[in-house]
Amino acid sequence: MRRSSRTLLGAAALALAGCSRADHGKRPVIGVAQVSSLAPLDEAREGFYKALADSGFVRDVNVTFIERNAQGDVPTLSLIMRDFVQQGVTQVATFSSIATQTAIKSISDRPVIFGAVANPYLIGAGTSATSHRPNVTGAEIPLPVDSTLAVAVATFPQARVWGTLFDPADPFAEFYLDMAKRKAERMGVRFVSIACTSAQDIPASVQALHAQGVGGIMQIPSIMIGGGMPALVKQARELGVVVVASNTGYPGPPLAIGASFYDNGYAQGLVMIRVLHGESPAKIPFQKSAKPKIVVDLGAARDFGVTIPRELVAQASEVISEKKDTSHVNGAATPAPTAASDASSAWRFWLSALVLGLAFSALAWGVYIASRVLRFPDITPDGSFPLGAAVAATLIYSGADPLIATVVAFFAGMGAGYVTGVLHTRLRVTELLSGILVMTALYSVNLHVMGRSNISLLDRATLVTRMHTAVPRTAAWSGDMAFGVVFLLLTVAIGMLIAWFLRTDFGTAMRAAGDNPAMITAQGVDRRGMVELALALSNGLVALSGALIAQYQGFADVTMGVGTLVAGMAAVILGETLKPRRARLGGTIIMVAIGAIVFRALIALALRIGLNPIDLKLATAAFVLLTLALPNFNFGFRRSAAMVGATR
Amino acid sequence: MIEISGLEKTFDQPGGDQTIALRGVDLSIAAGQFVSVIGSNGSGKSTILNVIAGTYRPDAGSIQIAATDVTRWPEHKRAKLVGRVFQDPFKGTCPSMTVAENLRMAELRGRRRGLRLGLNRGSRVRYREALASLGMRLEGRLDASMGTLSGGQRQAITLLMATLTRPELLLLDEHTAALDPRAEEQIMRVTDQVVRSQSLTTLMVTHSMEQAVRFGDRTIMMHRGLIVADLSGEERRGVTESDLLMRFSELRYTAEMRVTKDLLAGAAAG
Repeated sequence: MRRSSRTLLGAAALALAGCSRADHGKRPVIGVAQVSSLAPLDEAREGFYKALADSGFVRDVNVTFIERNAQGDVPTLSLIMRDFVQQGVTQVATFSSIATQTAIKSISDRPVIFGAVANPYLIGAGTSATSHRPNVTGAEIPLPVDSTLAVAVATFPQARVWGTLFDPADPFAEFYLDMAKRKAERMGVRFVSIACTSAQDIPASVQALHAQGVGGIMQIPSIMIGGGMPALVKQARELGVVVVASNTGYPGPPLAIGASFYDNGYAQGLVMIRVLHGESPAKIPFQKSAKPKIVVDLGAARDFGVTIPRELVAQASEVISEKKDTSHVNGAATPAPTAASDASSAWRFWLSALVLGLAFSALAWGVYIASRVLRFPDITPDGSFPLGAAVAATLIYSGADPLIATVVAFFAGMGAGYVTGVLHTRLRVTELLSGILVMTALYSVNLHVMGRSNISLLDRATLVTRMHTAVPRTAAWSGDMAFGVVFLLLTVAIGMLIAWFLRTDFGTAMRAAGDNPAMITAQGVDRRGMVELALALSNGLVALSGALIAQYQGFADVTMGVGTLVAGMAAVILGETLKPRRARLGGTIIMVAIGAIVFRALIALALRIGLNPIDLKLATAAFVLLTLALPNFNFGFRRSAAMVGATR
Repeated sequence: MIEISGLEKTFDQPGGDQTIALRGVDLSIAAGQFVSVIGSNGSGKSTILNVIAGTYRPDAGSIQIAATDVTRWPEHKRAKLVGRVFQDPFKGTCPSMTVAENLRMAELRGRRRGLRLGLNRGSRVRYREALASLGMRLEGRLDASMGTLSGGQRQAITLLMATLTRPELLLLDEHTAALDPRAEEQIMRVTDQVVRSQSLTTLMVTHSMEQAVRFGDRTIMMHRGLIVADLSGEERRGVTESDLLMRFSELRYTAEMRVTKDLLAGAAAG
């Protein structure tokens, strides 16, 4: 009896072990690696799954997928590949060049089937379609930037100069840029390119292109800039610059020419099926998807004030005639804005700086409360700003009311600031480190909130949607005008609330907690509580600013926090410098908001006179440094001691 | 009524040394009594003030203010019962705020601070009257920024703030030490007037023998963490500065002996 039970147990264990191993043997486990959640990559993945499903490979029945997404963080890709090997995947499917490149580097003993790769030779997958690495094959997606440019120039002749943004960190940027530039040269068209290092800088970079006379943007493929496509489209539309995308799948541009990522993914799926049926990847040549697809978005064309020739519409493989969310373009029946004249384009340029400045006022006030009222060097804003954007974007994306989303973002920021405060007051972590810890942790929190690295809000309702419903869009009444009015009302309301709050008995005690800790304690106030609440308020305002910016630029991105604090500091310093000597609390609050607007205007000016957007953050940091350092040279700069002392 | 018993406090010095600041101090102050505390540097006179205020936690002993044991109360909670004036004229007020705002904050000492604008016509009238009572022509400076006032003016306002709502105990920590002689004279006059008119229980630490004998109705002398003399009533009447100085050097000697004996006893026991 005892013996037999032991045998039975042993047999069961064996069976179990055998089962799982046999399971792996029979049922393929495919590691699916994606670099980020960009719309085209998602489309390719859908096509891939569809191809497998069409051939009878049903998820979790006879095939297992392990899906991993690096959410825009390229170094994570290597970790993902290592994880795949550890989990014993049988095949790897990669989407995008960078994911494929990483897979090639780290995996040589099992098949890697790629998709969404424009040029597999560039990343070392092989030397020709048939002569390639034995474990690597897939479907390449032709992204003929040169012919896209040709069509773009022919379709929109009013644009004399063309241009593009490129991400200098993108290993493929040079390849596409080169292709576009050579084509432009052959066609006798001036082509300008401007480097852009973060999605946050896209509006500024578009302004810089515009300042160089660019009338049309033919955007080359790029992961980072693709993520910021809503911002690119929005800014370009305000400046009267037309946008043509060289890959399909992004909402916003009136014209997109490029291969269908869905079809490409489907072709990749077919290659995967051959491998699953036992064919060696070495024997399967690289597949090429069919000819490029033309996608025409008539609604977008109307917003841009451009017309797309009938022949092209007839040729298009996809015509989007109405926007999904019509509330945004309710007034579209009225005359669309026409391509801007020079005077009105300059006005629009400054208007967008003003609107950004208004949206950044809340940030400036938040930084003011932490750094000046509380005298706490708080770094949390670099995390709480994108937190506000992430919370608002996620809620709006899932259909929440934009106003409620904005308010929730404010409270989320308050939570973040409160945690920073508690770390300092209760756990005795230094001020700087408290902020650094929370800011770092927020990066993960923000990714969790969004579920991916980037959320597009194009065609979603925002705070200005109701405004657009009430007042139809016209040439004079542009999107920026609506945002300007809404942000102005909001900013005035918030500023008045802050000025009132800081004058109340509670707010006075909060100011005293920063001004004189010994005194406020002697007056019976627990300073720790005040520090926590002031930091909560400060970061709530910063998050609110993030929520406004996300709605204005049309997307939230997990990287958009870089440099937030320094930008806020710059606004505060500008405000203080411009402030009349006798200004009291209310005056200071107004001047800080004006500082934010002046700061955006200075940036706009710098771009207009040719500052490379790459140098924006450097210039901002240098500006802040200069204003802090100048008083130390004793040029008779007033308020010198106060300024340096307060920013210790 | 203040009841202090067995108060001990030792500070750790950087480098591992220890400084004994209070060696079991007992002190009882009757309600309405004005006590001056003198002693040399390191005698523990400032420490005892800070321990009573809650800035430092005692290692042993207990503190009762108005029949409430506050030994474990945090500093800000004790502020409900205790009004303070610091040595540093910058410490007692907020320089970036107006005189009125500072007074409003003081008026709410120990009370809930809500979301209302506390500065209104009524409170401004109150503050103007209170400032006028100082006799320093400060009543017109209600909207002046605190930072624009002189050290003496600040100390006068800090004193007013400490007594605006009547405290159970007023602590004065060498509050004239940083002032010039004229301002010192003025502040002492105002102090005496405020303490007498409200009959406040007061503990004033001072470095000035002259102040110690001229003001208050009881003088305590501290040395090496101990109370070495306690003069009041008949004994104190007619005592001059030089008497006090003499007394002081004598007592210093006996205290020195006592501490040394303690140390020797400790060494012998160890």
